Amino acid sequence: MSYPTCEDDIKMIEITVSSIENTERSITKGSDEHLDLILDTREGLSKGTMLIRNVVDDIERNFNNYTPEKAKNLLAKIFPVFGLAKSINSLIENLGLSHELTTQLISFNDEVRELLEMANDLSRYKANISTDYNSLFHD
Amino acid sequence: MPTFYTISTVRNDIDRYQKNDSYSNCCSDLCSFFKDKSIEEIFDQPQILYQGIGFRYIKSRLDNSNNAKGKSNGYRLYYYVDKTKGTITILGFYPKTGRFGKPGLTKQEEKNMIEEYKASYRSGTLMEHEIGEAFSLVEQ
Repeated sequence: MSYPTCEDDIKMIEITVSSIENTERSITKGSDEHLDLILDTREGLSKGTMLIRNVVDDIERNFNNYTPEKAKNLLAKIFPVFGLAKSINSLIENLGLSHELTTQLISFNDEVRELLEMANDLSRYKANISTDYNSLFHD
Repeated sequence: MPTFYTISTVRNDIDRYQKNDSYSNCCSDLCSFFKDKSIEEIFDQPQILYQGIGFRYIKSRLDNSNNAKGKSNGYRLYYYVDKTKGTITILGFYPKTGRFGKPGLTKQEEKNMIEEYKASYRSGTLMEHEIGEAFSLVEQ
């Protein structure tokens, strides 16, 4: 079984960030039709949710093979997702659309939190190791 | 066939979870994760957080069959695998969401967990479990 390379992982993250950016732009731009805006945003959130889930699953699958350098590269690419997610939540709230988008927003935020947990793991256990686990387990 | 152990904090946590409708299947979810896996397969599970000579410290994401909302709403499992001895010790097990949910382990919580493991190992108070359906304790 061949696993995706780190370059594939980075491409997946770039596609995800781009998709979420598009969703943010479409909310910002708005629409003359309230219903269109809701439907477009629902679709954008659902797509973003699926893409983030795939990224998280992929990082989990390949986690054991990452070097510190690869982990740092991934973290740099992942980081914008959190700012975009925060912006999308604010926009939706300010436009008073939270109620219409509750289900999609909950799922989206669940996956963003999952990505944050994965980013923390990459940072703590791969990119910036500060704990001597050998001593911790065996002193 | 690997042998499974827990530290007391994990046993206490499992007791609490089982009394809550959101986590009542936690033991069978735990068993499903390990069941039919060899020590070699378990040794290679993602995510390896640390590896030493003959042992690995691993964190895995599990589904919670009570909510069936995927791993993001499932459990987190921290365990120590000693490949030479063929043993797996569960060090931490918690849900991500719901009443007992938490986002992750702080460094201090992780340190406390490992310290408890060491103390239990040295004092011989790790408890053995069977990987059937109920993750029940093995009579000593």
